[in-house]
Amino acid sequence: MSEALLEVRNLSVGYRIGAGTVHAIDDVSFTVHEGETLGLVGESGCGKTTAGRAVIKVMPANASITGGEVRYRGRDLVPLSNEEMRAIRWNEIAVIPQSAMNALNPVYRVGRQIEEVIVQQDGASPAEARARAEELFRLVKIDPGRLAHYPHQFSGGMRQRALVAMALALNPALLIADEPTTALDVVSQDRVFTRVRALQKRLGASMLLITHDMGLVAENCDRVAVMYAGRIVEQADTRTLFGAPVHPYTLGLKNAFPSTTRPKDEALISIAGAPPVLLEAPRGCRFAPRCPFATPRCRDEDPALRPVGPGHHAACHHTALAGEMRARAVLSETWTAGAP
Amino acid sequence: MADAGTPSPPGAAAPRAPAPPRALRGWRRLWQPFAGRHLAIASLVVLAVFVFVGVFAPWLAPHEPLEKHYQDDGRLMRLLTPTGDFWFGTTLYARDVFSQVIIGTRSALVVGVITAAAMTLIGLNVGLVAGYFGGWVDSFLMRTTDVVFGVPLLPFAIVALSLLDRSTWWIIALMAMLFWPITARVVRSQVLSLRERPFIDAARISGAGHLRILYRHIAPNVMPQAFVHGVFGVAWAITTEASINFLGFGDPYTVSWGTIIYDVFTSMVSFKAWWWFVPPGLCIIIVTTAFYFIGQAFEEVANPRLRER
Repeated sequence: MSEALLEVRNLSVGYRIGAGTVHAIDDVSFTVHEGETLGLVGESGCGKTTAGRAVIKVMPANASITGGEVRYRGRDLVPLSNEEMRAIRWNEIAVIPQSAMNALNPVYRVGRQIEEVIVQQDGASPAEARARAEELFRLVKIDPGRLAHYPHQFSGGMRQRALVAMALALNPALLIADEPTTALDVVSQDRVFTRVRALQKRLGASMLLITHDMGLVAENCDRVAVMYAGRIVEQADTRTLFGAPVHPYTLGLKNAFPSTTRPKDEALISIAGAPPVLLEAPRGCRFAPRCPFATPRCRDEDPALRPVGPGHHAACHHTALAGEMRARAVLSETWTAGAP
Repeated sequence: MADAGTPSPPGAAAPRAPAPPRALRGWRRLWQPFAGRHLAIASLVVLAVFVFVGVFAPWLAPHEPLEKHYQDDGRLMRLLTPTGDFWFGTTLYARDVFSQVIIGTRSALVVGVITAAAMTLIGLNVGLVAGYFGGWVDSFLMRTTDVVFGVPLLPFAIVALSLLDRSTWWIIALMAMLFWPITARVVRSQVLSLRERPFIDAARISGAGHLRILYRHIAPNVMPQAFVHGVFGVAWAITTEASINFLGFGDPYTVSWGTIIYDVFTSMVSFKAWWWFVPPGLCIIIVTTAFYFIGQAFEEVANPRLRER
């Protein structure tokens, strides 16, 4: 396997709120290799966005990294000052933000915003920046004449692609795409993401794709990490994760998305209940209260992330029973009977 | 609107985007607030006349404003009713009212514009910093704003001017010192909302520092509101300066609309010499009203909710 570009080790992030500290992510580790796309999936609030934000250290004022390391090309970013981080943001690690639709400043022309980033971070002359911006617009298939327009004159998909162009402006080595297409309809989603993928391949960049869209993950990622309640519960290459998942949460997540091979009139199966509130570390496995396969041991003992196959890790006590769980997981009564 | 990214067969020329609505440029954009607003357009015309008079005041005034005029027999030409020679008549001291009003136009506009600019500058910065940084910076600045907001302007100006030089510059400084809280509050409330917007987050992600975010990304978004209050500020400044001068706390050696009315009042001829105080009084009313209407036109652009449904 190629070299590690980004290594997140035992990272924990807490949000201070009135009632205490919410441990949004707890002891999370993952690696993005050169040229690879890692998918980080999970339901809303599982900490996937927090994890992405912690990498570039742009977080809300009440959030702080409480432990662990974020190694980028071998250098730990956690102790770096804001000034040092600013040199890394965008030049090295670029982000396509979650609300990309509104990420352009309404009072400036789109071209000016892109050129400004290039001039600012790269020290290019305005003419070079202009040429670069035009090239980028052609790459994301927008008429370069549109650089002279304001964001409100763009459609949603165009704005998103303009953001992609902006993120790629400085040839970043790592692209963090945080729900890059959620606000778009499926057709635009596909169009935007096809561009992103083609460009990523062409520029040889790595990508951390944060999403809850299993379809997007299946199509685009080399490896996948599944997050639940601030922890990574399963990590594997995409084929293995979709073909032979081990963790009950992954099984449930798979059920919750339509499949082209299952009969189309079959209802989707959802996981009953809600994730725990992370004000204090829950006892035992975090998924146990919603897990149809939970045993007394699950409620007592916190399972560690252990290897279950080549490049395949899972945090479950019952990985040995994975085959049986997989068979039962496709039945909807499994999920309705045992759950609270 | 059609999207430029429609997939095209390989090798085909890139599809051209249909011409989108053009952004209003230059003069057309400046004109936009006035389109169809007759009062605002009329105000603009009126103001243009006053600005012209203000700029060319020394050449337009037929006489020196403080020159005393004598008859052939050596007597002063006191309190003449308007004639061909003295369009607005003369004062008790035989000075030409018309020339005084014209010279006063310049000082009124200068005082108004400088005060408004200073007030906007202070208010804008206080509002930006308070709203953006929050915390104790916000508390400190906004409590200061509250205190300044509570200071009654005229009594404060009168006391201050009795201790200081009675110069127009001090009047401007005092007004700017007391007017800025309005701008600061409006700007702060805007910034509170703006700083949470996705594009500010995006700027941060792209490596922008605080100053850059504050002055490049947030400030342009609050300029419309700051500008509107600046325009109103011109009107407040002109009336307030006139009031201070009318009360006799202004610079006695400058001619302004306020001092003219002060002269009428202290001469105790208010009931007789209408031609002496009506012109400066009308000028104050007309100019401030014009600024209000223009400010309102801009306000409707800055805040679309004010538009007539």
